[in-house]
Amino acid sequence: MIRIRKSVIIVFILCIALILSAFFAKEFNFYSFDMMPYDYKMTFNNNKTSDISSVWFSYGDDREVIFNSNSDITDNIKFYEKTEESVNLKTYKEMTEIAENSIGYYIAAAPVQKFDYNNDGIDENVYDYTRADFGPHTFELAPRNFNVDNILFETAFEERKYIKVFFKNEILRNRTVNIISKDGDFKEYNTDENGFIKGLPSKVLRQGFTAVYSEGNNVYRIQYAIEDYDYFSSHFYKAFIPLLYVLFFSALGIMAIYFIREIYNRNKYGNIFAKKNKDFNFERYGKTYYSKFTIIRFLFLLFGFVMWTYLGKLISQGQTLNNIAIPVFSCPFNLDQTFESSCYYLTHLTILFTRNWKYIVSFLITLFIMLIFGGRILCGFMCPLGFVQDIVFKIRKTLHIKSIVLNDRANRLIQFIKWIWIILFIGFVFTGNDFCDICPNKVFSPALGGWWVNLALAGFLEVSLLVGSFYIDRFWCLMCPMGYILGIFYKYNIFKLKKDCTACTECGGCYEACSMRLKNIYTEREKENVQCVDCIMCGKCIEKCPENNALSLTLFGKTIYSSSRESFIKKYNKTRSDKSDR
Amino acid sequence: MAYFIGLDGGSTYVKAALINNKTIADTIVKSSGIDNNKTAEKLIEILCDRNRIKISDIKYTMATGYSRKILDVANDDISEITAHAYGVRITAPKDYRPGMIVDIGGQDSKIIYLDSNFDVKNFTMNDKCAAGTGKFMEVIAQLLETTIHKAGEISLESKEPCDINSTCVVFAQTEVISLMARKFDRKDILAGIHLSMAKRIIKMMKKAEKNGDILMTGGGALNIGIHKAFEEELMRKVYVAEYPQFNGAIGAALIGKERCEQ
Amino acid sequence: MTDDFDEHRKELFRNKSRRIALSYLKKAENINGMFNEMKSFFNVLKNIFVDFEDIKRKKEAKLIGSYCAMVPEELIYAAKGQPVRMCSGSYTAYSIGDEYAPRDACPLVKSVMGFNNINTMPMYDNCSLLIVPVSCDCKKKIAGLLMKNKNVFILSMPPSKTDDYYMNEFIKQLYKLIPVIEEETGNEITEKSLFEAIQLTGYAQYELSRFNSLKRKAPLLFNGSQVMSVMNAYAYMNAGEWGEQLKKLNDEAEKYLKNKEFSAKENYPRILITGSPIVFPNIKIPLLIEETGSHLTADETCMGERSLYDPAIIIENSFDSMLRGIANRYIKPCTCPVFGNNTQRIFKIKQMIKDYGIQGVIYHVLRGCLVYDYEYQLIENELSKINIPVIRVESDYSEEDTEQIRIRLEAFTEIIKMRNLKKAGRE
Repeated sequence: MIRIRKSVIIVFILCIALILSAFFAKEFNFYSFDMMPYDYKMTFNNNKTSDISSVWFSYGDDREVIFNSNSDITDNIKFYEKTEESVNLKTYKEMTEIAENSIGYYIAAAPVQKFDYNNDGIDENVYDYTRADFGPHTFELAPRNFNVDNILFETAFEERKYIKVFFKNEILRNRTVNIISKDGDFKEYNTDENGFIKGLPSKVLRQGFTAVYSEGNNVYRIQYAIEDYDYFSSHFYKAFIPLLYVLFFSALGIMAIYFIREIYNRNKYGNIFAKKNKDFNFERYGKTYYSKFTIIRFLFLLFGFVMWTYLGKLISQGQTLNNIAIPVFSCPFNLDQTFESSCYYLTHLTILFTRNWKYIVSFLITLFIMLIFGGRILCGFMCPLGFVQDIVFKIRKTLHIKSIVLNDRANRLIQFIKWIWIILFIGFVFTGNDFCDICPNKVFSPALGGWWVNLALAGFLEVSLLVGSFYIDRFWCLMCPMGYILGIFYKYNIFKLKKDCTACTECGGCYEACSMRLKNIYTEREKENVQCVDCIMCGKCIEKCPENNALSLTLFGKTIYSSSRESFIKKYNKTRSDKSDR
Repeated sequence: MAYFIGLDGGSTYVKAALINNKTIADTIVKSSGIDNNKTAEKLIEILCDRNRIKISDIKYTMATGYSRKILDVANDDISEITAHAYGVRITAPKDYRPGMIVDIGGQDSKIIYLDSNFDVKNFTMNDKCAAGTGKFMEVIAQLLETTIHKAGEISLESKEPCDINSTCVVFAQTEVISLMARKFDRKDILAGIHLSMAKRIIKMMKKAEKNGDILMTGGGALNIGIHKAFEEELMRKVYVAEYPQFNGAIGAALIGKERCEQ
Repeated sequence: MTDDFDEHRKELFRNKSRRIALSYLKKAENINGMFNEMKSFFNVLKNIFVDFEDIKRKKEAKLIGSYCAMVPEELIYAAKGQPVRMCSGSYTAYSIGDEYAPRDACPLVKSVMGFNNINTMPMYDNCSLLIVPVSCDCKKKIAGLLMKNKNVFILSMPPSKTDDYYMNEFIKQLYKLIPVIEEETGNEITEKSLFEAIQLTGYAQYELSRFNSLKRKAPLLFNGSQVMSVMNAYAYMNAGEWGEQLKKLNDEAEKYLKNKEFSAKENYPRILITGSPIVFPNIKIPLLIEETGSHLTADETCMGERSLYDPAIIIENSFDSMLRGIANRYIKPCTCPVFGNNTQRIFKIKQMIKDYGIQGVIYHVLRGCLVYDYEYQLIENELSKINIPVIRVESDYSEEDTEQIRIRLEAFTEIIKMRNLKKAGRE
């Protein structure tokens, strides 16, 4: 009886601690980058010449903004600095120090130049601007245009993927704008009715580009450098720092648990238990067999991870797919993700409804299609966080360290924590808190993609997630709120897990293998359909089932993978014959 | 005319039944001697004589019962269970719904469960102990200086049957002797014996059997006392087959007929 | 317990049990369709029950005795020991054991008691450690009685298979068992040796699953009573050797299958036997089944398929995980009726009926084996729903009831034949 009370109390305390800390998530600073604009310094380079624009911003290493200009116009450049309250006009000399209240948005305007821009024999008026966005506000959803009369042509980064174009402080609708990339590639784009330029490759975005718009005899050019860096720059590598912190603390946590558990087990089971489970080694006994299904699943997971981390950039057209929502736990702070991971908008519904209706409709339709027909197979086959957990778990397996097997009571208690997460996931929409502050997946995808993110409580949670999933298979999935939402419509999923109840011998292999510690697959004796809200359809139960067709995974009612005794027992034969061959 | 003979080589008697088409032409019983085979041969001869048929007219002879393996006169043999279930098809009363057959034989008693097509579903038999069999009845009847045939009618007169608690033949015998010594009436003792036999057999039955009626066959069914005792204990109507003693033999003959037709 | 049997009585005992064992061996061997490769299995039985030899094993391997199908052999193999199943079917020992066990105790227990007191079997004498699972009441009591002569480890059974708490308690017990075995054999059980032990029994299980798929063929390839003898021989052999031998048998049987030489006629009723253990030399009922013209196609008994059928499901190669896999293998799929909720047995039987094309089920109850008797009702009811006849055959190790059983089995065979005829007629 005492033990029951103890564990209930622990879970209760954990739940309370989670709720309280979630509300004050911002106060727990795990790691933060020096990202405020005043940490930057601005240097000037007046000797450069460029045909693309007479003024342009670029970034140096370590929070350095470089203003470049053609030497002849330097003195006549006007700088506009945006603060939370107003826009300040500054001169060249005043720019060496960045004001404390700056939010990091700068526009420099060169004086009007007259030359033959398009080689038609007539001189055009060329208006050159350059814009730099740096600091923490860079990736805000809504654009911040300067709205100053003297800036005739302006671009702003909106919704973290589009460029909104303003002309004379009005949105420029349905016009042709030319985009010249840093490398000098030239391409025509049309703005849509909302003034957006869509389909701009993120490589172009990151390196900075020049937008050119001409009207009559006037040519307007703006060079736009959103704070962004290419791969393998020092800025890119710096994004790894929080990840390394997380990994370091996770390693510490894993070791701590290893020793604590040894002491605990010695008290509980006696020395023999500790003695038998002590040696961790890399020794491999026999061959390790992976079924085809496992390999395919792993490849899917790997693909999912790469897709959500890099693929948007690699194929360069990623942004076009961003209104397709695939509900998995991937971090939208990484702008390279190929699809919208939908967790951001589900926890920021207010922001979702500021978007245009087309986006909302396509978001909701794709979301619900995925929810209803896909279901939790996405967890088992797509989720990048699932991939991370599988990798961490696999490391433990190779080290031969004993895992923690949750018994059914512990599993029931974890359900409470899951419900706390669900409440936080949905509730934060209404309380005005930011779920991203407590999201334990904020570190991987952005860090590997080279995006700087500050970690508040999220960092601590990420550490506990990694420690947990080292010992417990799919630790986060046990309490994932997104996963629960995905599982709600499991009855309509096209993938189904089925059981032949007569063939089952109740050997418990499925229960032992199950990532989610689901018992109903093992105990079910009547229903054919054993799928439930928590099943992620990873197929581990099918792989470990020794009975013919006792468990099977079906797609549209057709069996695509089913258990078989032959494939299960085969491994015992091969190792034997290997030995006798020697 | 095609005739078929069923031989039932039981432990106490050898029974033979002659079947002509679907009607029972003749039956005969003789106590089994040392050589069952010879007795059976004799029975067949008598049957042929009585009905004025040649032995060659007999198309098929089927044996059943304990000694069926040694009855060489028969073409083939079949177990009693199947034979009884077949016999009931023509010997059962018209309004009998197939459910259960209680067969009380010389040395064994068995219960056969039938489905609605008179096919055997299952069966139970007494093992080792002879209580609840014809032999038990015979021993007690001898003790009470009567015969097994009269015992039934005598017991019907009884109003207060005695309690017989022993189930074993030998112990029951002792108990009867002590009852006699205490000057209990013979009819009461007999009625008590019948009740105890019925109880003994009912213990073998499964209570769940609600569909269908109960039919008694075998030599024991000739004893009206046992029949009444069964009805009293079960509190429901118990049917008796037309030729209870020959039921097995008739069934065997029927099976033989069927086999010929195939 | 202390009475010593004099040499004369021992000799008489040997002669009697030798005679009985030999007669059964001959009966089983002489059935048509004996495979050449089966002979070595019979020889093992012969060596033990007729020639009174010790179990053949490596010199340094210690004999460790176990009862029931719930003692993890892998642990014994991992400590380089040789497990041997002590459950006995000897009538001679049974009559000796009558003196030590109460009248209503089951014959298996009496037989065990007999062997342990008369000291004639080297197999029993050389055993240094006995592992007795508290499966049924009788086993619990013999554990106590055996303790006086031998080193005994009592392995208590979880009351519920599905409850994790009880399973964890069982695993804890295995952790306690490990040092006991280690001390006995002098070898340490390491992660690697445990892995190798699982591979060893796994190989036997692999060959068994091949054997099973051959057994499913219609018409029948093997005779049931010979199969029972093969399965019984597993109790007295090294799992690896047994597997190798079974491999040869499988290969031979596959050859026959290719040439379409079956040992049986097609229309014979296919019978499944379930219930109390059938231990050599008490293979009376399998032999009777074959004599009455049925085919014993499959068995669901603990000296037969059940003890080896379920493989250990190892999730990962850590010591704890392997031990969990072993514990699960012996408890969770076990259909022994000593577990309170044992509904899985009926599913298992239904699946076997499907797999082997079974037409009738014989429910064997050893007199005094209450737990099996309890489940008869349930199984009869369930199987009548799928129209499979069941017959309960109660017996003990004596031969006196042979004729009565024969009558029952003959009638049972006829019932099935009649049904088949009818079915054929309808079609």
